[in-house]
Amino acid sequence: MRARRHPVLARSGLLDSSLAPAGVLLLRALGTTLVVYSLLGLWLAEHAEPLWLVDTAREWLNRALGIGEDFGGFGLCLLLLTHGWDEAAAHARGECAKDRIRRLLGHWLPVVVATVVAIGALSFGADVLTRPDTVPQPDLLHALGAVTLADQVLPQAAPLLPLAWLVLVQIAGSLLASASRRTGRVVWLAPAAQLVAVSTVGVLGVSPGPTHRVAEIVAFLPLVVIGQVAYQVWAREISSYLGTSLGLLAWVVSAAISNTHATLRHWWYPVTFLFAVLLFLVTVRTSGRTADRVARNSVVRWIADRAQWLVLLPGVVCYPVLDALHTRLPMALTAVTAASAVAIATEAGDFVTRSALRPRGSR
Amino acid sequence: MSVRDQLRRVVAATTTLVLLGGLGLLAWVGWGGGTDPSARAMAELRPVLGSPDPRQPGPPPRGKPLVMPPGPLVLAVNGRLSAPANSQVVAPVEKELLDRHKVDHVEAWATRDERITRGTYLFLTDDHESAQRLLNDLDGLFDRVGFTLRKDAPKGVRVRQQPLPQGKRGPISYRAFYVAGAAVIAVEGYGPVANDVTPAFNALLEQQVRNLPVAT
Repeated sequence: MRARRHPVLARSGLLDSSLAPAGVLLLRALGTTLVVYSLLGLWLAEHAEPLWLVDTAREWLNRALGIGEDFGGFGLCLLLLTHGWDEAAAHARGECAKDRIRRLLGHWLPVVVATVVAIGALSFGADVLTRPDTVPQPDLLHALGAVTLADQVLPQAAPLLPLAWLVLVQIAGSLLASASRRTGRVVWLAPAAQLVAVSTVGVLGVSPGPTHRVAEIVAFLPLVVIGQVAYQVWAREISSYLGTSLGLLAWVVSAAISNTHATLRHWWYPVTFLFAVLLFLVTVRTSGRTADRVARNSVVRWIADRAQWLVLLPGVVCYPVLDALHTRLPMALTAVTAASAVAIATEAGDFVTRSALRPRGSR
Repeated sequence: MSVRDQLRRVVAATTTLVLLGGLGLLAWVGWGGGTDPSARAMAELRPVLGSPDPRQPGPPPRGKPLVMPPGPLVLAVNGRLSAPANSQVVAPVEKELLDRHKVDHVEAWATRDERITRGTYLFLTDDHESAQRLLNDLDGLFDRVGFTLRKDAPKGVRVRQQPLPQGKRGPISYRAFYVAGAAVIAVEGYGPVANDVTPAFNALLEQQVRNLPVAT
């Protein structure tokens, strides 16, 4: 079997989108855009504000397809799939440990910045997206919980950044992938071992207890595995039959976990997973000249490169802006203003942390 | 490919699209868009039922307006009053009244055991004002046949009772009506021994009003 060329190792930063094939980059940009859109939808739903675009999309697309949360969950699924792909691609090109740490640091640093912004905004009395809606005046413990992501899994904790579980799944997925590669030269054993680990947590988390909440988050981990398997099939490391079997198994694992959790069940996540995986596979398979051309667009690249920021910052930047302006401006204009505020905050956050992530010796 | 071939392809594709679209359009003209006629009135009831999260997938879940009484089920209806299967839901005299008010959507639960027969009903009208008028007429119907108004009813609910001569050991019949959004809710309870019926009816009415509060 002819081995396909691996994506070129980027010269500069690890968040550089030139690492990924065009289709994967497009999906990361799409997933990010959908998450931002869904956060706007969540705000509208919480404030019972109508907006024609969102209401129509709900009626004609979301309910018809069975994809809830204004495509937010779908967008996160796409981000996890592309993360799995990147993980496998990085391994295939022999990424060293230092680079891997730097890559994961790039995923985590936005959490730190978003935590600082969230605490700042909350102390000024601004409305920030938190779960549950009313978080007491945050203290050092809150900050510590958010920065270490512990507040996502501790049973009694209220997450300061409700979407930071994405980062937890990404980091857990990467660590699990690294650990599972110790299974040796049989390539398919690595994803299989990861699925076994995920299933174990899933089974332990069925009954209410400390692992219940962990299992809720782990339900999304199979998507990282599917991303890896997709890369392995694409790179001809494993056959497509084996890849399909592993992919189906991964879907079954995540569907089974989400069906055993009352908080997940009514969102129909297995349907969302299926749509996300199908879109991912079709895009990777058909990614060609058109995808290349779109991926070269600077806006698309900008969004894809700053995915983490754009997922974490809207809750802490958009929400206060929306709150302050929606009584004074038309809703559509308010939404655009809030989106611009997020863009500026993203660029600022990226600028601040970029130097920390730049490999030594490069500009 | 020659220009002629290309043109032929374009024409073929366009014809297919027009035919497919035309079929859909014809079906729409012929049979309508499939909208539920009671949807508008139901939408008016929905704020009362508590609106579900609009971000949920699938069709918007409808709240359950009626409480199902305990006991063996003898009637379960959710649909058109005009459907033949639903003819037994109400008595002919009530049916006549509902027809006059153009009520077609009806929901009902009824259970029966040897002690008591209990039922909860929902009659959907066009709007809140129509529901008020229907309430007055339904209530008047029972007033005329000798049901007396109970003073200790929950606020906004008209409860009527028909005590029979034997007192607390004899049969009794209760009817309660109230308005919620565009709907009239009826709760009934009757049985051979007043002592058995009264607490059971009161409990059902209280539960029903808690489930779907009065909105006058």
